[in-house]
Amino acid sequence: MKELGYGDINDDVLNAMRPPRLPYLIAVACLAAVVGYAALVLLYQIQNGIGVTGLNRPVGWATYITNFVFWVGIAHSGTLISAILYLLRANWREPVSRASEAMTIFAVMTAGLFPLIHLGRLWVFYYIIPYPSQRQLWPNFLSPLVWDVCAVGTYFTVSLIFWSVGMIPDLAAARDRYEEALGPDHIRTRIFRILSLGWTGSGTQWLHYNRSYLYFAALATPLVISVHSVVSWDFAVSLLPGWHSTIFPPYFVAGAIHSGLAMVLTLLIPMRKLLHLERIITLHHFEMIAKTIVLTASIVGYAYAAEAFIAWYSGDRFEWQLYHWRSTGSPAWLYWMIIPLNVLIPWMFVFKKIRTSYVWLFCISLLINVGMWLERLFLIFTSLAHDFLPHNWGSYAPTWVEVSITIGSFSFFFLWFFGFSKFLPTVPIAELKTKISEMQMRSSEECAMRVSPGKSHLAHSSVLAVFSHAGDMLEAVKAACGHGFTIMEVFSPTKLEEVEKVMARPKSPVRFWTLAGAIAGMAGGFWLAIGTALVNSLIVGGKQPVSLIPYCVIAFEGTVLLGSLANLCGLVLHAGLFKYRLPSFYDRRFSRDRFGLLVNCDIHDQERLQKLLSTTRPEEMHVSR
Amino acid sequence: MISRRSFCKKAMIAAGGIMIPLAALEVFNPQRLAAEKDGTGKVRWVFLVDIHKCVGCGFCVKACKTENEVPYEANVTRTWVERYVVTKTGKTHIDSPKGARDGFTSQKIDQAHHGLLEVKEEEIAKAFFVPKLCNQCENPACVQVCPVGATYQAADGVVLIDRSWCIGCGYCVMGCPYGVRFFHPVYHVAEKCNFCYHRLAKGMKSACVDACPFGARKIGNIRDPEDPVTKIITTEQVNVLKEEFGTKPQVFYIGLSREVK
Repeated sequence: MKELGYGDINDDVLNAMRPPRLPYLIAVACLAAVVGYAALVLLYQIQNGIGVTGLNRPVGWATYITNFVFWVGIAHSGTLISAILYLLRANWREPVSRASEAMTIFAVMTAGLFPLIHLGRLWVFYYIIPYPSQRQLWPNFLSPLVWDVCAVGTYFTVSLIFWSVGMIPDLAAARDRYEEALGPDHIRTRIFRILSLGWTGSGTQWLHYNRSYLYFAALATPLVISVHSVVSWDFAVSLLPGWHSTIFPPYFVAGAIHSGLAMVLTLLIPMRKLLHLERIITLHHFEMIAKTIVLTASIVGYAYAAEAFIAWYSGDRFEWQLYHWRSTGSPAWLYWMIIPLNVLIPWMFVFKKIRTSYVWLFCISLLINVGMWLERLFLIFTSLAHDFLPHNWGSYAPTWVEVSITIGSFSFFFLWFFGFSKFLPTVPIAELKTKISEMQMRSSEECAMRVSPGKSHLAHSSVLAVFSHAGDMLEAVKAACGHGFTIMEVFSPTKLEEVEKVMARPKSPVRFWTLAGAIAGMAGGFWLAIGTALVNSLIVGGKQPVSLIPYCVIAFEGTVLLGSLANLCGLVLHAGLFKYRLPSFYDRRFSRDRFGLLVNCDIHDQERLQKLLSTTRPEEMHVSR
Repeated sequence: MISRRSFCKKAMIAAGGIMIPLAALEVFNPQRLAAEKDGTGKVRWVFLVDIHKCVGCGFCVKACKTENEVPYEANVTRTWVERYVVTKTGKTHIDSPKGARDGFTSQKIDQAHHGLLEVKEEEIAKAFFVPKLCNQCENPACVQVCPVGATYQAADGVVLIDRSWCIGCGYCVMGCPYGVRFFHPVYHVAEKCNFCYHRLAKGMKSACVDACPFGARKIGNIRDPEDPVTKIITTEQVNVLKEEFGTKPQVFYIGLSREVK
């Protein structure tokens, strides 16, 4: 990757977006057919009731809820890679982050279907949404299922925004490439012109964008922990043995990241090959993921051990009989399979030989996926099958209905991912280019005078210098402001923090939008939950009508949701991301491998400015009067 | 200029400073979370089961199924009777074939998928029957988890289900530690015993109470000191199921053995 230039990265990634060929279309058609079949099966289930599945007394939750937990879990590692590792400045995340985030979104979409699919009366699912109904009956904000709706809804919205915002500079690169190759009126050019929202890569846009992106990452970070914690509370809040356990939230979060990282490997190893991204996504990145899997496997293994220890040491007869049945009874084959699949086999990644072999990486990732799916099924159904009442004990086996819908869900997920891999940039181009530009930078001091981008570039006469080296442009900026030119704007295919620093630009006001949104969201969450409780006025589960502790969940989700939405509004308004036409002086190469510096000046200063800029080795200079 | 480090430090101190006085407030005291309902209503329905009197005939189950539109052949019931057989070696066998709808016709223990188990008469230390039904808990776990508020507690303590509002997610079925809830095969919603609320409203007794030929099942109003059920509960040794979960069940048992779960 080291020897790649700006243009190489651009081409490698965007070349993958060529029109699809026959094998791709066949694969998509097959996936779509399976999804259609699963939809028909769902219709059959709705008509005939949930009894057509293996769900019955005593096991009322099994495959569908397993799928929900599994897919939400898959989503988590995408956010871990895109948000947490971004904040931690882990460089290896960059090439894999876009695809992982896409995985997050499609996994949450798949997961979101399952709470609906498993309803006895699917057609009234909207009763769970807080809207003023004619019955004046509101959702019960003490129910973990409502927390789930808030958490998963927030997670989907925030991930989608985060992902789309991260893609804007790359969409602009695709737009400019299509415009060059296909002409300005081609349908692809037009679509990408709309999608890229008028991105020019100007210094002002980058300024707001970077700030905004940082806050998206910060808002998405707690979601990695919180969403799966909320999912685990679905189980932990009930009183059943095996479910009613305090280790569930960390246990579930670790398992989620474990399975998600495995899914990243499963998806990216073939994608890298098929889309010819070998120069960008390298073995190093997979190795880092494999190392992280060793950690998550250890946490999961520790949780298994803790579960067994507590069942034994607590002396609770129900816990112990359940554990005993799990490990020696009819589901024991599952138990003795998930331990090697999720812990022992992934630990093989401690050997360098194994974690640097694509075959091993891919095979082990598949095994972890299988193992984690089985683990969820195991945890969910065994507690129900062997609870307190021996005469009520039973077992569970899925019917063809659940099997079909589960296969359909995998097809649904892969269908989306296939679409993404062909139509959108699968690697964050702009972020990768940052690495090169950072190497080209020489550190320098701030300008004495504050530089502003100016209101209208066309009113004055101006000089536009084009550079192929970021360091040269930095020098030009320094030289221009050192000689009293204070109205200038830079254009760049990547973020240039050094240039921002030299130009002494003030901090982006996007942060105030985010703060205001977050505070409003927190207040709104409490307001919604408390208001609802006062209207319903039900005493629920021995808690007072207004009980603040459970409402913190709602307030938290509100904080993140409105914070992100406000952040997006701030970004769109301040960076002017609502335009279709680009300014006339914009050069297509600014999204690829060139840097532009536009300096405004008086007519009589123009010559002096040109002379000054030519000392900094620009490739071209354009003058407008 | 405030540095990041000092900001974090100060934020932690401030958060801690706010938490300490808050911790003293009742909102952070889980003990106080138990709702203080005004115990002033005139009616609070409770149930009393005398285990000594139950013979396991299953008439209560039959009556309940007929009265409450629970499909007769489906393996679900609002109330059921468990048989406990304790051997001299201390082993307990528990069964309830079809919820004891047809009584216990065989001496063998029904082990569902594992066939019938014969326990020799000379090995048996004691055997008895335990009728079970919804406990109409004072702190119902099922009501807390319902996402849409379709299940709720009436003013007289009975936990009801609104069939037209239930979305059928099954959470309450999983949430109830007594296993009294199930999925109605016809209506696709949660279902459970409600003490025959429609009969109570008309001044009648629950169907199972009327059907019991031995008077093992009684329903009464705990707020009425003259009610015979109240008198027994307040003067005799009665017990409830799974008291440790804090659900405050309102079905009281006379003669509850330690094997009963």
